[in-house]
Amino acid sequence: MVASASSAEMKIGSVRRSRLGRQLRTFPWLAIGPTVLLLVFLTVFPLLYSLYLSLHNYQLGGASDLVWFQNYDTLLTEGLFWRKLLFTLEITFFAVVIELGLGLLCAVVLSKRLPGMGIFAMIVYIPMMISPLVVAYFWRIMLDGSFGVLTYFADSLGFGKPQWTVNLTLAKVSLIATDVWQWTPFVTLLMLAGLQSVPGQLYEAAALDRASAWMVFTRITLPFLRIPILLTLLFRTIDTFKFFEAPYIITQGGPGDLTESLSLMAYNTGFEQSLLGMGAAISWLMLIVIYAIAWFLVKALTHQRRRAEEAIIDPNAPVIGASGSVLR
Amino acid sequence: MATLTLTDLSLTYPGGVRAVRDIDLVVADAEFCVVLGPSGCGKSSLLRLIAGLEQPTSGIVRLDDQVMNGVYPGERDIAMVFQHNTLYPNRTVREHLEFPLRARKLSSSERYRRVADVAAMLHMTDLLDAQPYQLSGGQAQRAAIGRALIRQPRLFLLDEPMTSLDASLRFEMRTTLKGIQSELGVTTIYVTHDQDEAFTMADRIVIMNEGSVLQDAGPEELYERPKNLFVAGFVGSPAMNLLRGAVYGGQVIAGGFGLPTGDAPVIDGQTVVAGVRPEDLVIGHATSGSTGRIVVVEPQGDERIVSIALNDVPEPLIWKVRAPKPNGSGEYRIGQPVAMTVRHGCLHLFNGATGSRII
Amino acid sequence: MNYAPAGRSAFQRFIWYLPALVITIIFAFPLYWILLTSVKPRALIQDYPPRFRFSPVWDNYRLVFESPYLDAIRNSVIIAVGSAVLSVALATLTAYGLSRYAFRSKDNLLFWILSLRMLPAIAVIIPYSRMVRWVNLEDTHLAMIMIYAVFNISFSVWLLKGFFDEIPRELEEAAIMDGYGPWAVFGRVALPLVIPGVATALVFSMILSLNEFLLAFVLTRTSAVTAPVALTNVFITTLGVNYGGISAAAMVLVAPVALFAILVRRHLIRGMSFGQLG
Repeated sequence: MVASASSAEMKIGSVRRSRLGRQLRTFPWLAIGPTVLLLVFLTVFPLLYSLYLSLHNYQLGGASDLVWFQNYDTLLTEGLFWRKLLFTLEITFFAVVIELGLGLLCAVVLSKRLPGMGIFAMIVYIPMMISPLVVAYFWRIMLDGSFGVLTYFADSLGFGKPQWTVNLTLAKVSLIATDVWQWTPFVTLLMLAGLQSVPGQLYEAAALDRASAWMVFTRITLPFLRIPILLTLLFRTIDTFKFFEAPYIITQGGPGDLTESLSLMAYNTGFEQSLLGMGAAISWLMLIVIYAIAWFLVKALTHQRRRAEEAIIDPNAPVIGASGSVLR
Repeated sequence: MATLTLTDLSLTYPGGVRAVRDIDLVVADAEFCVVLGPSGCGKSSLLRLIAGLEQPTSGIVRLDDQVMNGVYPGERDIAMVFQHNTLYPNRTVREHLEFPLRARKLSSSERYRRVADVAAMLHMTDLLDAQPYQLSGGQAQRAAIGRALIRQPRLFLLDEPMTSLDASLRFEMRTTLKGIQSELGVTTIYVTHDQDEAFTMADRIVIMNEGSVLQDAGPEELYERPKNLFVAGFVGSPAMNLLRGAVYGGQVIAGGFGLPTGDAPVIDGQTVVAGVRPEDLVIGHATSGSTGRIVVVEPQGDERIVSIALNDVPEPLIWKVRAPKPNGSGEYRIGQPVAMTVRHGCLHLFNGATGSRII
Repeated sequence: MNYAPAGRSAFQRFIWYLPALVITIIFAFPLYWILLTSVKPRALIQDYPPRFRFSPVWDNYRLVFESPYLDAIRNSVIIAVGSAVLSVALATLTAYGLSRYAFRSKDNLLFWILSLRMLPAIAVIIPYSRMVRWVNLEDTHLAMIMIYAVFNISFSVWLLKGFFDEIPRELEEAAIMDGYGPWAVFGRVALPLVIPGVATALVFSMILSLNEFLLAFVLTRTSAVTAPVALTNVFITTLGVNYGGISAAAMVLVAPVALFAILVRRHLIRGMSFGQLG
């Protein structure tokens, strides 16, 4: 190969003049391409198709008319959708808050590394690996109004035989309890990682300064928990918001339709009532809410992550003095 | 065994950082060329351009008149040793040495022979069946060198391979490496920030700073005739003493201290920088020459590095002198007034604005 | 690490056993109760007050393994393994490509792939129900394998990219200089170093696939019906709901997961360091 004056203008960034060089160019496409194709085919396309469906009105016979945004209009103006949304958010809120607290507690216990913790860890981590459907059945059986063991416990404590699926408040409590039981382990994992990311020297310094346990927790530990807390909020809020199995199995959406989650509503509308268009519209509205929540939380997360990267130890963090006073 | 030619080579990163600026360089066949410079000067980038691990923004890389731009690194017949350990965790040294040979599909007996030869050359015959975790830093790098050379490449590149080794080991490795290189006659480019390494091993040294080549010459020439201020200040330990001042009446004047300019082509009022190496200064009694006070004495075996304050206004100008151990009457004392003279012909003058050499 | 500062008594350390005990009971009780129910004779299950003491029987388990439920388990396993292998294979290549190669809009692509983790099944279940009919894949293993793979890829890519990012580039560059092409570098250098990640991704993908309900509920019927779906209909007959059968079937599904937790408990105490996110 002889160098020519035009070689310098050769397409830079291309390594295509050799056999392996060509392989190098095709490699990223071949590595990432199939995945992207599969994902586009099975996510982007169905979502667009779902949007298309939501603009139609489907009846049992399979016939459909294009009704544009009528489904959305119906959903957003009649109270039904908003009630379900509120209900779903209500359950989500309580479940996530309880999971945060309980998860943190479990993580703290695990972090103490007391002997015998192996069994504790084992038991605590099992629920999140079980199928949510199975968990729903667990609680269905325990909460049965006539023979459920939890019904029995409540009865023996003098509360009578609570009808978990008939009384609205009790039904909500059951759903919350189911979610909390299953997913607190996940929160525990996140919190534990956060607790273990605190540099040991900070605790040692606090010990030397004889800071109280409360000060240690709020000033040293908590800042390192910001990210795990945000992660918990992100994942748990969105996952709980989608909940389906528990209301389907335990309450069947009852009493009436008062514990019908948005997912269950979409399913019932689309499949039980065969109103595909309406069902698709509900699921699209859900999608919008989910991505809105995610957008906010991811912004907060990236902000926190940037803060964490900039200062490994925050130079502005208050220093605890020997008398417990806060020095700056 | 090949000649490397770089023409107008540049590399600009997407953020706008110009790592390599318009470099022209020729490395002759079997030459041991060292690229020397401070961290971030672009020497590693230059090496990676030659290897093909980065694509140049412009310019041509030629090996024996073959244009290498656009050729996959592995197909350029170039071998490279990296700064950190690149041995695979679970393979023996023997397997590492065979690795490049397998890619070229040599016969099993041929592979065995070559492995034995290279191991002998590197004094690694007894380590052939060891695993990386059993090797010390020096042994691991030797294995990496062996893996590179076993291919008999046209060009051998090394990117600061001894940085992570300790001092005594480095000394030994330098000799081994230089020995192998001259025995094999493979054209070699060695990147480092360590002057000692450069001066010990190089046939030729290329000094780089901020992406450009500042001087490209043999060790002696680099030391005795630095082309510009950067090279002058960079090469030599302790560094050359520098004085920035104006020319007046045949002298370079700054802060009350003056050095004669001799027959250098300078004019009055011109800003220059004068430089004298520590070993080119002689300490004498405080009667002739420029006078000053001793401030620090650093014993270095047979020598002393004496720091002398030449004036006091506003901050003392401190120059270092490499002086032999004083005979007879005792050590240099702090506070002792002494005189300093420059050995004949050892003054370096640089243009005050551009930094390039005047004499 | 928690250091007990001077002055803290053993009491203050061991007091943590109390919440630990309470929490253990809360988490263990449902498992215990369902296990109990699964070996309870059918006649006693609906007794009130509930029976804690009785002679255990194996009828329910016999029923589980002789009923169509066994086929459902088989389907679940096939689908779980198939989708895990597919998704992890794709994810490994994708994660490597994203880790090592730079190109325009790479960050956007990565963000999009990771954001799919949030995609709710409910959003695509209706279009899926129609799409499978178009290609004649209704109630087939293949359809479920592909769909589950899509839902698992996001997590696997995130996990494996983290592993690949940790590998020093120089290791691969050395192989490149030795003459290995990009595929060989991937297969011989990078891949062997991320085996733990691949194993983790496989296990988690399988668990997620085994446990999934909604998609399988809508998209399978008889030939590819999965265990969770079968759980909702096999044990409901004209005689009523067989809670013993359901409990036994549930225990069968829980057993492998419990076994896994026992085997890796030491790792669970260490916690997972979410390197990229934390």
